[in-house]
Amino acid sequence: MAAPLAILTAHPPAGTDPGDIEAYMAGGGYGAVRKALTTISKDGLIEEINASGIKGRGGAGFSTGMKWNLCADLYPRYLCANADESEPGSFKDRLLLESKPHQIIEGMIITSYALGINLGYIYIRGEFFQIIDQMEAALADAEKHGFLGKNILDSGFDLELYVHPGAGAYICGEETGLIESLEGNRPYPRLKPPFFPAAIGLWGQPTIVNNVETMAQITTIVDMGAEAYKQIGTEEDTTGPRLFGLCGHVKKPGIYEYDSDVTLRELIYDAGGGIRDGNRLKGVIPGGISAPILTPEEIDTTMGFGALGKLGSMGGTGGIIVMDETTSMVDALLNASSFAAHESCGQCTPCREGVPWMNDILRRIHNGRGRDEDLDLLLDICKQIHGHTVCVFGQAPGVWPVRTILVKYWPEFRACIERKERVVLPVEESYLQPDQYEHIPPVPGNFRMKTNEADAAG
Amino acid sequence: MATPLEFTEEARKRAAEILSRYPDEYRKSAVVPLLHLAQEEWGFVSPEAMACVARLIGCSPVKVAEIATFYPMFNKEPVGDHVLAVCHTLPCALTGCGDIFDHLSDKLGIRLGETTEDGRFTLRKSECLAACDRGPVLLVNRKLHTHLTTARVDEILDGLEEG
Amino acid sequence: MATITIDDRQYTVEEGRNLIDAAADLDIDIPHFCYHPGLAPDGNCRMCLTEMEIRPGQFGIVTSCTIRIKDGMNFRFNSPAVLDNRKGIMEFLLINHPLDCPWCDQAGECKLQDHSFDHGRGHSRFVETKRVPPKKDLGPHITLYTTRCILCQRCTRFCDEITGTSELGVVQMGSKSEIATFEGVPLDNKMSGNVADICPVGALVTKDFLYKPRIWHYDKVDTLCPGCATGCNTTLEVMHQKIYRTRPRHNEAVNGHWMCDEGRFCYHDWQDVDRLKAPLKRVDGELRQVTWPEALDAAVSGIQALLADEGDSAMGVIGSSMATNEENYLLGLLGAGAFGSSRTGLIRKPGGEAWTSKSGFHIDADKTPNSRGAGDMLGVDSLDVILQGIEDGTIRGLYVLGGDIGQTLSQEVAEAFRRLEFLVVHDVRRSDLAELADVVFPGAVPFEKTGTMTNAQGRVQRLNAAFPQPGGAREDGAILRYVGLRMGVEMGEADPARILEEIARSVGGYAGLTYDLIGDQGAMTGGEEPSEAAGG
Repeated sequence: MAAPLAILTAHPPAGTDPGDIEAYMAGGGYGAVRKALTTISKDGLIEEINASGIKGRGGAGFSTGMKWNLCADLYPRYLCANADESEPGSFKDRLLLESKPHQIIEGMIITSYALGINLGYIYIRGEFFQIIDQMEAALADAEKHGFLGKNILDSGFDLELYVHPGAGAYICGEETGLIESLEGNRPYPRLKPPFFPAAIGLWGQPTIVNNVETMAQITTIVDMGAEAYKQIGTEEDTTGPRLFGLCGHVKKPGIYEYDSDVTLRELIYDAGGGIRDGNRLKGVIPGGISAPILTPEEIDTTMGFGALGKLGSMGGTGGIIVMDETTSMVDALLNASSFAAHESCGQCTPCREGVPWMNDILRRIHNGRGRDEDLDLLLDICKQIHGHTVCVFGQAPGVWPVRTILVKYWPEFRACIERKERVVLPVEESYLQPDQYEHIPPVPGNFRMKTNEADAAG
Repeated sequence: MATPLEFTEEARKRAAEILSRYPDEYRKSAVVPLLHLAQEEWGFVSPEAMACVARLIGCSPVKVAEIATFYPMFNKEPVGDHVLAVCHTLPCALTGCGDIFDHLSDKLGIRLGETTEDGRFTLRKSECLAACDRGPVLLVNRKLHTHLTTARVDEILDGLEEG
Repeated sequence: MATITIDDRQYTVEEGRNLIDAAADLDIDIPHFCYHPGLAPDGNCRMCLTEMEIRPGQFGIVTSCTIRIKDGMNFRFNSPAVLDNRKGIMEFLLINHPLDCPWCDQAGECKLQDHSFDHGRGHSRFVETKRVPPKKDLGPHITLYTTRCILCQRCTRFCDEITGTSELGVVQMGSKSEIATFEGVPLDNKMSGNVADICPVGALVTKDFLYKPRIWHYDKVDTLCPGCATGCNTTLEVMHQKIYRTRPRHNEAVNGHWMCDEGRFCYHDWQDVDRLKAPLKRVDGELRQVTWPEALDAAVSGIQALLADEGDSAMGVIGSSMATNEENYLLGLLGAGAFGSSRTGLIRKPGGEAWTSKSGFHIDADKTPNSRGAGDMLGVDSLDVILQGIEDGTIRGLYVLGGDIGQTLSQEVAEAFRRLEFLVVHDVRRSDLAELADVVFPGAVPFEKTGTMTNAQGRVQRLNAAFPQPGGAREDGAILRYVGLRMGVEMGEADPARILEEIARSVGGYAGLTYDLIGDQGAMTGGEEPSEAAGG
């Protein structure tokens, strides 16, 4: 059985203010910055991150080392730490922002130093009022202590970091949407190619956009060394500690730190204490609302990016939404779909028109006015959106929940249409076995969309 | 055109500090933080406030309207003294945010998006507030309240009445 | 050049060209909405998705509007994935689009209609409620039918990239997004009419062309804008001798895809005016309508009397920057051949406002289309010689090729003309100038003329008549030939192509120019193409 870790979740002694730089430094804080800037070369740092095998923690599970290596040989370069955490079911970044602001800043300093960046922003979603205040204070303290500003630790390296607040739009978490937002434009994601941030990013310059957890992990890698770091987890599933957020119908919701080898069952039943009220599990979304749902029979999977991918789901943000037998899957999907319809930025046709249309149909089904042809129509709309949008939003929260919840819990949707009312079927009757849904288009298994493959060649 | 509002001296200083975070040729980057500042100043972002921000960053006012109307956090109309935003996304829905919302709606006598007649409260729904382990959650102005029950909501409201 | 493969056939196309344009060069249509060749690609409509070979044997979806041609690229334009996507996009665009084609002004030139015909489903699977946002008055010339908008953002990009005025934006979010102006800042720039042209659907319409007859009823005539010396290439849409609409015609070297509002709507100035439809002759101090033979007799006998009395030098001629090169050339022939006069002049209108857009589109200060050509034909660019002649009494009669709607004479010129003993004028209305004349011939406006004009850059371009002159009015070249004939000057056939050959032989800078060479895109005088396209 997997053992819980306490690396990122190691709390400062009770009673200390997480924003207090003195306390943080007393516990060894800013040691990673000192080590990186005074004992490791820039190339050495990049090598260290490559060697660590870390995959980004923003949701896509893309290799951080590879992202850094793709950075075009042009200056100035910019850094954006992505703290626009808004994927429903995800709250790990909030935990880190609340408890480890300086560890995130350290990661940003190290990243900037390694890549020759002198200006960076931490894009924090606007609703995190207290976090924004705390982070601004932390940045000011870091500057006072000589970790930001001119000639940091006599290394000749200069860095300015600022908080940039968002204002409540999910799309700003998409890296190019974030850049557009930071430029003061409507946060419409950019076309890739040519706008890979590492080549053409903020203000047209090479830009590294990394999730804040990834930034905190960079600090950990430098602290413990790549060799030790990569002993945790596997290359395929990602090395290093993972933060899993449990929410929904578990007894003990919260953030739990494990490596990727932990199984979903262990997380729900051991870490989370099982399902509330002694109820039975009906379904679980393993990585934020976009991650395709798993049935109770699929929870023996480990939580690695690779392992979940093989099941047709994805690691995503590690936000695990647990639903028990009282849940109506029609309600759940309508909720997910309403989120997507509300958050679609409206830039491109399939997402702007298709996602709200699906929401309308689901609401009709939910209200007992579903038609026989609606379920096939929903799947057809999914197909028309999938792979045809500017960014991955169209399919991630837009299509995948519809496709997978609908396909797997088909009997519950059928019952709802036939009986013209909200129906919650008993768990076993509510979902299909994989061999039962061959007639339905396959569940998308791969996070990468077609356009991204085209990008790689372009 | 709508006559641009003028920031107070204090807000002007903060605006200058915000602008200093971005290279001078990219002043437009400051539009979102400046709109937040405008909202703090005037409670909502009127066309006059948008014009004020447009003048500060040197762009066409419609480009500020594009931003102000895109982001849900910017109030386009006056709101109550206290803005109550109940998270209604899936994890909070699973833990009963619907009851919390209905309770608030009944208690305040207003529906979604409305403001009480006395101008004290505006009731809203919010998308996921990234506190899913502590649901249901409610954002009251700048402060997040977690683990809500209807009784807890009453306490929070009472606290606001006193404050 | 690059060799590419499209659906297993090889083609040679220009390297670096955008795939939609490259395919269009091959007469292959890639359906699209948001892409416009005059604007930077945006890729938002997703209609132009095609498949491209990403690695050997593997195809991936790409936006054609952002692909730049490289040698060896391999595309599929008609694979099931491509066709299914188009069908899907059409369905998405139509679910909230009103089915108001019967009264939409765009019908017949609507991309949504066209592509729906090719890629649509024929029936709707949408049973929900359509969004019905209200229509908006965006500015003095433009109305937005918000329901019809497909949010391709051509219009906002036009105002950002071309005019640089940025009056338009997209407000709200997601499916509630709408095109809008800011309160009190209407869409009011010098080129605003273009947004109606580039709108692929019936969302943006000019108020000028609202509720007009269907577009397929019009004759289309390619010609030039007479509004200024830029010489924008245009297409007129005409029915029953009336212009209903002017639209820019693409010419990268002159106007790109655009024209200004002043030029676009200037046809009203000419169309709504009380035109001269018969010759006038001064009888007992008053201008009276007469027949053509009477007017011609009066003009010729008046001129001859002056010439007989005072000798060769008594008559001068004044050319017109509203007239074609050929007409000004014939005027020169008449002056030299019949009047024995080499004294010529050109009335310059006071300059208006010049303006250059962010993208380089230029509106000239000279609000007449052919000052440069008229000057080239007559070797003169002012009235100085004529005024001097009148002043010193050596010029006592004038033959003036008028014809400008907007013409008002300056005090100085009017006074000089009053001292003349005999004045023959071509005009299109009873202008200040006509009121001073002894004989007025009813001429043609630029929309009724065929010939060439030379713009401020020195580009010679073809002007084509959209319809005949009203009533007894005549093309000015024809009138000059009637007068010439009666005075024994042989001017040859009236065909402008033939006259241009003569011009090419005798006028400096015009050597080598032929009607065919000028074609529909014009040709530079002096034989040199400008180094930079000016169109923007």
